[in-house]
Amino acid sequence: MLAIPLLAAFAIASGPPPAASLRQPAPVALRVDGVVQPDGSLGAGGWIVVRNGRIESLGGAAPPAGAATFEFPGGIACAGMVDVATSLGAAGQLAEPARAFTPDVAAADAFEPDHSSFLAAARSGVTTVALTPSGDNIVGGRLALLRTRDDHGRGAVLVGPGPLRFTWSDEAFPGDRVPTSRMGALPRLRELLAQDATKTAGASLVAVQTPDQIRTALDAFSAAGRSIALLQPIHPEDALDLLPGRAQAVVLGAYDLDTPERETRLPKLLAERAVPVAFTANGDGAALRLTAALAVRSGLDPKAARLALTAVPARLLGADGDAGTLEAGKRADLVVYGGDPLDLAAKIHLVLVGGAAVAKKETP
Amino acid sequence: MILAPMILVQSFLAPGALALAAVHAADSVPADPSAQKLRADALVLQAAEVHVGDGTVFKPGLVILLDGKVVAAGQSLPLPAGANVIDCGNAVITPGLVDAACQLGTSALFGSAEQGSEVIPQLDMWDALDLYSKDFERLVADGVTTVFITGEASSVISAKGTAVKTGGPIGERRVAVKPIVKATLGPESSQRGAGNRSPSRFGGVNYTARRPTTRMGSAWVFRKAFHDAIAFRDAGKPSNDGLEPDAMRALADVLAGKTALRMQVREALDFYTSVKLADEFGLSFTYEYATEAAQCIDLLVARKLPVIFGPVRTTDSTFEQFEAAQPALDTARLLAEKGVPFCLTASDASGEGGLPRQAGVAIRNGLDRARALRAVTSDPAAMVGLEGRVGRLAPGLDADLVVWNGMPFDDTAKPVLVLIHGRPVLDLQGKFRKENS
Repeated sequence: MLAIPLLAAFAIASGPPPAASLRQPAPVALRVDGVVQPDGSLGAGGWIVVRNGRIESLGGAAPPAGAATFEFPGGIACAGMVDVATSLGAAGQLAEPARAFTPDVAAADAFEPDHSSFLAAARSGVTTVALTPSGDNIVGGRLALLRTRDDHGRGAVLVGPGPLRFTWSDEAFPGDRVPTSRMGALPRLRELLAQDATKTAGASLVAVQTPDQIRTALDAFSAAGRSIALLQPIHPEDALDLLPGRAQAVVLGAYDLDTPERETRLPKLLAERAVPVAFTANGDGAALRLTAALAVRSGLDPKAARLALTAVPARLLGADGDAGTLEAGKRADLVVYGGDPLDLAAKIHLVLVGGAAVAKKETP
Repeated sequence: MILAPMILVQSFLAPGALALAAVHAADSVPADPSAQKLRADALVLQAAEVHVGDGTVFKPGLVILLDGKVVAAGQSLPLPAGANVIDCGNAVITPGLVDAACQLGTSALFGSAEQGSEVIPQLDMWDALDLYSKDFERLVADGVTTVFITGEASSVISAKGTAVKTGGPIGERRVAVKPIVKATLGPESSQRGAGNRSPSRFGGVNYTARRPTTRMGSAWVFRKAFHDAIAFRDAGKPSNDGLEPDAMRALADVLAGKTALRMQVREALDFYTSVKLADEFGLSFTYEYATEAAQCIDLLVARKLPVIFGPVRTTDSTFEQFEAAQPALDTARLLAEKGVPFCLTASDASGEGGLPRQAGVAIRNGLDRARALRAVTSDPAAMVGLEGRVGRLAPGLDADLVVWNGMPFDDTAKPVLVLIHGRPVLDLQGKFRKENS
């Protein structure tokens, strides 16, 4: 989809004029028939007013005077999707495997702003992503928080040194470097977690596979008072009861139509234990929505599913002050769907990233 | 009906008293407000025989459990009204078995062997455990309820061992135990260490090419490590072999007697080396494995060194093809006759090579049946300092027990009900489903 002239009031990706000239003081108002609420429910629509890249108000009965107005009959507005574990825009590998513990490595140093994957992600409704170190190291390094679109139409770093990515599975024990065993690694991990240098906003993202990896990771992070999000556990079923109160969230996905029911039921089982779920699909909005839809089909509450695409991942990244929900004052990261975001038949009519439009409304 | 639960309170408060004596002395029932709670919660198991684990046998017998502990074991008693009684018929009840030198339950893919150094007493086998390992289910099926997970033989001085229950809620598995570090003599640390090669060919000592590569080298690493630990302790001198300060502090604890020492040996000559090394540093220790204990019986008697003996292999093991493949089958009888303190271990075996089979082989080769039971219950518990917690059906000890469908350790008998902390972790006959819903 291309940005269309109608939306010229928004910052549009066409050449690099100075950002200041694109910041129109005049507000833009969008009329939608529904808004996804901060609790994930579908609420009433109205006018959403965006000014200077932020949401000024929601649910008004009329647009403010002088605003450029756009109406989306049947449209439902939702916060832009957030993906905590992507390799979008990565230049080269996202791991430095020379050592097992690399807490000082920053994914932001491997970030390529002009990468075409950002436009694809933004068009698919994903507005914030984390460039995440891969799973080769026990401590892989700092995530980089990115917006998928800046005023010049490129990806941009929101926060360079974000939360830390850990790997607590066999992947991080290739056998050709020390420590060679979990027993050898745990004392060093505990030592690192006790240091202020590993304290970050949001939650530490910890890749685990087996129940016992979950148990030992939870023990180590709880003992250090650190917030932990489990990344893509493969067989967590036996350890589910360890999670409430100790794991801030579990990151799952991506699911497709071949994913076994055993996996797609996990979000429901976690939600039953009041453990939030976030979905990840390497920044592909369509895959994120499919993942959420399949989880709902396997019993996940739709409200939790919408939050798993938006608010929960934003909180894990420590970005919930600016992203993850549609609330006055937050950054205007917003998607207008032709219906419920969980309904795969609902097309994307508009995507704003920080108030800048990247996808168009269907021709009225 | 007598208010038997009151009896239980008495014997519970006076753990020294014989349960049976307490039962008969309970004519006067104190007005204890917890009586009602006891009555409702107490669990009674009846069987043709109850073996306490210290040699005492009640025929028939019963065991009374409450709040995860044994309250009493004794002869047939009048039972309280409403007591939850499980009748095990002709079965035999023993304490849950205890293995003092188990090598199961560690995280298979991570590996429990830390190849980063040959001397790792600062590490803890607790960190190598996989509590979800299927090994624990197999141990439960063998009637083993408490295991001391001992250090891995691929390091000369291995990690501290850890004790766990084999079943029950994950959060309640760990059993606090005093630290025990294991040293391995003989060629195992070079044979079992993954990827160990001669250092010279690979440009120095690192994780793929560690010393030692010989039996002589193992003894040298042991000696050098303690020398370094002493120099560090007394003069703050760092190790020129790259030993971490934490490792040397852990060895200083061994020297000070705060941490117990074990020596894994197989061949007779390693028995003699172990004594020589220990004497150099004034150390006392317990033997583990001790394959050729029968050949060294005079040494064991003279030095009064305890032995955790086993396993006797039912089949040829790849690991043990190198040397000292099979002990003399009557080793346990010999140790008992000579008064050497000992217990039996199945090490890394379960099922047909498991701890019941180890006891059975010992009985078949002349060990007294009651002594064999002790050698897999109260004796191993004492070897790891848990005699006040597990290994006997005595008041105040953990309610870990096994119900056997025949004479324990006979080839025709197996555990049909296993309780840990009073809760069923194996229930082949559905006793708890039917009678204790």
